[in-house]
Amino acid sequence: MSDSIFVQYIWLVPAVSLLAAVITAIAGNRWLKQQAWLPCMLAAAFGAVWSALALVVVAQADEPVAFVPVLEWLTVSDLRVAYELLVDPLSALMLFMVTFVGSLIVAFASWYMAHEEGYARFFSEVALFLFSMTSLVLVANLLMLYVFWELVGLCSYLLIGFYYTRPCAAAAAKKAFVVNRIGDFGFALGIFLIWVTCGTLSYRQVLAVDQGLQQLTAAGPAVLTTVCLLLFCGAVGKSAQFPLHVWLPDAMEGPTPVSALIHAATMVTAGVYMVARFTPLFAQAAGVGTVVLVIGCVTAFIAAFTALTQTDFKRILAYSTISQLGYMFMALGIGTVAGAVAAIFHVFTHAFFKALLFLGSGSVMHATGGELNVWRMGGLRKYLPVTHWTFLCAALALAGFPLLSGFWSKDAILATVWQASGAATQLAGAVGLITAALTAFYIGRAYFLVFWGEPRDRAIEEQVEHYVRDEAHGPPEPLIMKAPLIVLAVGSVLVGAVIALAFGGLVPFLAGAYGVEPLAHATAEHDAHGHAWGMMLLSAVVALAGLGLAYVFYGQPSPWPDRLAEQLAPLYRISVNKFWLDELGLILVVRPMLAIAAACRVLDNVLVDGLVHAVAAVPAWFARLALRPMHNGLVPFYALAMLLGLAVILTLVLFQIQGG
Amino acid sequence: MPVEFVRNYLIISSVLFSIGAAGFVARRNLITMFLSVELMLQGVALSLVAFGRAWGNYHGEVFALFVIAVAAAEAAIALALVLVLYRHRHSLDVFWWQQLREPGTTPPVPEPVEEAEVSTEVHWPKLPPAGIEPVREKETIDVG
Amino acid sequence: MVDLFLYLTPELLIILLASAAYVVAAWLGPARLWPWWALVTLACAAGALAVVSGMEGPEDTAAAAVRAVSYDSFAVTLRWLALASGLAIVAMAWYRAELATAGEYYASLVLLVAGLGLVAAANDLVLLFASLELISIPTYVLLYMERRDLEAREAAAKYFYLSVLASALFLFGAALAYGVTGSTNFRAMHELLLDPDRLSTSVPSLGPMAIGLLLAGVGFKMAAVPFHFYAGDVYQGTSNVMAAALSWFPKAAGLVAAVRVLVFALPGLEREVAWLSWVIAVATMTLGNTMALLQTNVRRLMAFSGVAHAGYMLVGLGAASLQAPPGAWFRGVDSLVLYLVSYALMTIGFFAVVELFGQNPGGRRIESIDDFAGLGQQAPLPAALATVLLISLIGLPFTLGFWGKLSVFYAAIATRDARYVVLAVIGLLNAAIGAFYYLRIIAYMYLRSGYGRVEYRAASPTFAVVVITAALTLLLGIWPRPVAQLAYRSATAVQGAFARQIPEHTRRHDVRRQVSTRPFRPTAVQAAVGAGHAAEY
Repeated sequence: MSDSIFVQYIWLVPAVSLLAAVITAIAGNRWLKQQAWLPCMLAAAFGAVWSALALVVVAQADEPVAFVPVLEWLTVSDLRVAYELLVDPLSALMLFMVTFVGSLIVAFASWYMAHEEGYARFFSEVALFLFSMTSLVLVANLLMLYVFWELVGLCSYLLIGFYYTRPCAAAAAKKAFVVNRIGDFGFALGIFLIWVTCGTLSYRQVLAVDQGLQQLTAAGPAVLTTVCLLLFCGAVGKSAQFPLHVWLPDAMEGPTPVSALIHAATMVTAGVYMVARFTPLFAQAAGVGTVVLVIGCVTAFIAAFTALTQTDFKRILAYSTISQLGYMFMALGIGTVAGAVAAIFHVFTHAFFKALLFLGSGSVMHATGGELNVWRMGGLRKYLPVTHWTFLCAALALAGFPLLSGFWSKDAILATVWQASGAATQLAGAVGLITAALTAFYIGRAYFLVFWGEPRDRAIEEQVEHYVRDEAHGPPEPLIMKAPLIVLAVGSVLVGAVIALAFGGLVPFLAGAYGVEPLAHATAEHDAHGHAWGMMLLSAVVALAGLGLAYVFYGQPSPWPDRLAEQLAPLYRISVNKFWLDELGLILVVRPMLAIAAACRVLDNVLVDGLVHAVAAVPAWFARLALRPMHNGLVPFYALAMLLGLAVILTLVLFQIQGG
Repeated sequence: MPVEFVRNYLIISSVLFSIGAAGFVARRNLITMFLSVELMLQGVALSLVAFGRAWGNYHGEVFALFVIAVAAAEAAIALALVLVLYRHRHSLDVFWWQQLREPGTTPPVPEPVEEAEVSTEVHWPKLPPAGIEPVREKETIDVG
Repeated sequence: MVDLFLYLTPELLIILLASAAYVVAAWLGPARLWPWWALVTLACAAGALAVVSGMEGPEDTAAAAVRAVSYDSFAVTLRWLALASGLAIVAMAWYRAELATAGEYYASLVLLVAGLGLVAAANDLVLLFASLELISIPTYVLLYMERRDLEAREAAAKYFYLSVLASALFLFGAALAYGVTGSTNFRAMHELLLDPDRLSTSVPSLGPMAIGLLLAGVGFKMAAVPFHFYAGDVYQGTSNVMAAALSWFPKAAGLVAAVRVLVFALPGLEREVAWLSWVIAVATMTLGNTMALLQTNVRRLMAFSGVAHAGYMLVGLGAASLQAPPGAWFRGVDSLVLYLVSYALMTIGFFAVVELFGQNPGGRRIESIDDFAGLGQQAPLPAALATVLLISLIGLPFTLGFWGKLSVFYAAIATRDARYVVLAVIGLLNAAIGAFYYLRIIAYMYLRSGYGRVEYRAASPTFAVVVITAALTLLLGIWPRPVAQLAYRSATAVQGAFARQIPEHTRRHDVRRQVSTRPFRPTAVQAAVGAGHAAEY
């Protein structure tokens, strides 16, 4: 397989994106102007085509794992740090997903972001993100993984703060960055621990059963458990899991295509990818699986419950993303290859429908002049037909409507969780089902509120009518914006079914990334259970019930929502206030930290600044006093100093005066 | 290599070297300073030759020859340089050359007192009686 | 014998062409062709070096012990470095063709390259001394020709007098080294010193004295304390081009000579080398950095910055003499090569920036650091490039200067000698002090408003030097593998030539005792150099 050019030159995918970022950064404002999206678009499209071909090559290979050496970054005697890429089913699938969804979102953004300040800056940063993200999924070395992990974080920071003049965007960017640092700190510690224990950071050695894995196991159970927990800590930050999920809803301050690309489809799934990649480690670590499962479960439920009552359109979607990521971690918590495959399956389908939901919300925002409150919208389906239909597809897919893509992948997760032994997993399965009902309900609520009924706000209605009629903007739904929506909608509808029915699920394909033995094991397990028909039926019923209830509540004017909110006031308040997690964080973490920071500031001003000034002042004082007079410009004096210095030197060696 | 072979030579060469070093530091005349360095070099050359004799090979002699050759080259440069320096100050005193130093320091030894008037006229040497002195009045030398 | 001349073709070619130029220049005077002549000379030398760089010396130790040159890749690497830096200096000095003595000027410049190349290739004290003088003597001439004012005269005189004094010190050390070993050839010296009697039965203090004197000699070239006094005055009194040449060629030559003689040619005296390097390194780093804090004249500041960098190099030198155990990533000599490459780039590049603004008569010249004010707005590109070079001089990551400092300090720590661990810490503290005066220049460029008119020729060779050095500093800082590998290969080559027979675990305790228990083998070498029998009286 490694002799195929699509694998050998896979590095072209990130390289072209980097090139596009550089070109756009240099030439964007001055020469490209409104064409600034083109380099990024071409790079993403090239990446999509190339990675699709690579995916085909990988799928047909007998031995589907290839390490592609690209650059030796540093080589000194035994130390060798290489930019080496790993092409296997897992990375190929992720790469395809990133570039494919990425290219569609870039096309959409070329329309969405037009007339914005910093058009070129936007696409330069997006291209940089694509470079970082594609590298992140391809690299075969933990150090490089960390580098790109931080780079995507940086891009995320830059793009959340894209409208940096708005205080709330700047604050959101800062919050995302700081919260991610907490996770990354653990991640870095985990990497250090692997380095200390194994002496290498290459996947090739760390994941090899007879090398890194053995060393980690031999170092004692605590070491392996600690490593996995620390790595998971990084994933919790990046993939917005409880309790570090608080940054993701605020990240919606960024432009909507960014929310679609980074904060829904790709970057936030990096944590899932990383845990899936290290499943061989997680499978051996005692107790870690349960932690992952519980965190995933809690996140999925809390986020879905919060989403029930939110009024901000994008925030509903953000909580939905958090909840879906929770599902993925539930599957990963099982700690088997089958679990990892189910998680990646959900990552893949989720990328389609969640990106589509965000793009749809972007279209709605354009039409309503940036309005985000779902209670002020309504009846938009007659103004924005394409947006409406595609949004519906995505919403149904998210809700788990039978036979749509979300249905298959969510079912795969629930089935895996359900079938795993243990009381915790049974409980998790139950929570998963409840969450599925909540999911169907909240997305149905958002859909009906936005697209059905009559407009609830006169001003918004006028704005939308004006937007649809006014030809100055161009048509309300031009081709460049419609095409990505339609492609994604087709994907949302079909991808799951195609994978599940035509290819018999992802297990046979993806388990190849984990070697032959796990593949056989996972396939056997998969075949033994087949499709869990019971679970399928149950989740279909639950989804339909949720959607139906949403229709009853919000499909037409109804007294039920208010009445229910009164009846269940405590629960309602919990949901509206997002479990008071932000407030809790404020009291428990932020306030004490600020107090410590204030104390540190005093310390800093007095002690550290004093020291710094001393570092600058004392040597200068010393030099002025003692050294300067020596440099008096007299040749005989200089000669004397040299000879006296020589005398000192000779004294030191002749009389064996040795330090130490 | 028994020490006795070279002891006396080494003592002499060290003495030469030290005298040269002391002369370099103590003398103010540019030419004398350079001659002091020459003295040091000759001390080195002596020890080289002595070591060569003691070891029974020619490395030392060859080295000494090189030292002498390089010393000659340096002497050529030194003469040119001293000439230029003399033209500027009409003095060979090394203390004239201490303008480049750390700002704000005073040299331990003050500069020589500038003579009331530094003549830039050329004083040609007296020619033997048979010759005719060239007619050159009030010519100045370009001190560039 | 023929292959020796063949091997030295690049340097011999330069010397030949330079001699011809000295003669022709008497008739030709100033002409536009001189810089081109220098370029062609260096190009010819580069071509010759490309041909001969693959040459290999004799395998046999006894045969190698009578060769005046060494054929290892350490030599080849540094000869390439000498050529490249010579090219940069010639490019900086491109507009000196109007000097009345242009021919002599450029001929002297290229002779520096030949000198450094010969120092790198020398395997014999005699050749080493001659090549060091081949650097010094043209430097005297250049200092004299460069500027024609009192300051320049004074600078030339100071450099000349102190340099000949330092030459005498070096020579005395060389004579004593010869006296201890019985040969002037490094390989032979190394092999002969393995004889347990050489160090102990001759005057026992001759060896350490030789080390001290040699270190004084190379210390002057490197501008190490207390032999650095000339640096500030001379740099200040000469031009930017000469300051760049002075801060690179003698310093590199001194360091390379130290590596050859002190680290490899005199086994059994490592402790003295390591201890003296330690003391001098501490003094040099500290004095260089603290004095640089006080400076306002930019060349004087760079002189003391060069002193500080000599201190960092001495850290690597001492580490190299102690030799870290195998398996360490940097073991001394490789870190020095890495440091030399980074130092050449950043110091020549920075002087090129300073020179750049003096080339147009209308624009303001940079003499004091105040003249950097506002360059960030007035000349954004050169200011940005200068910032890169300054960051490299500080030693911050993503520049080559970072890897240079890292490797040197790493090598110090890897020796596992407590003193050297302390030395690395002192070095880091010094780097922190050093950051202050480099950052001040950056701050002047970007935070102060400029004055007057700033002009520079973007199409000049000097600007090309700035761009190339800054770009290489950055690129190699991000991707240091080529340099690191080059350094590693050179160091392995030079270490392989002087393969040590001393067992690792005994070496660090008492070298001299271990020496006396080793069997004496080098009879073949003894016979080859004829240094076995004292003359009969």
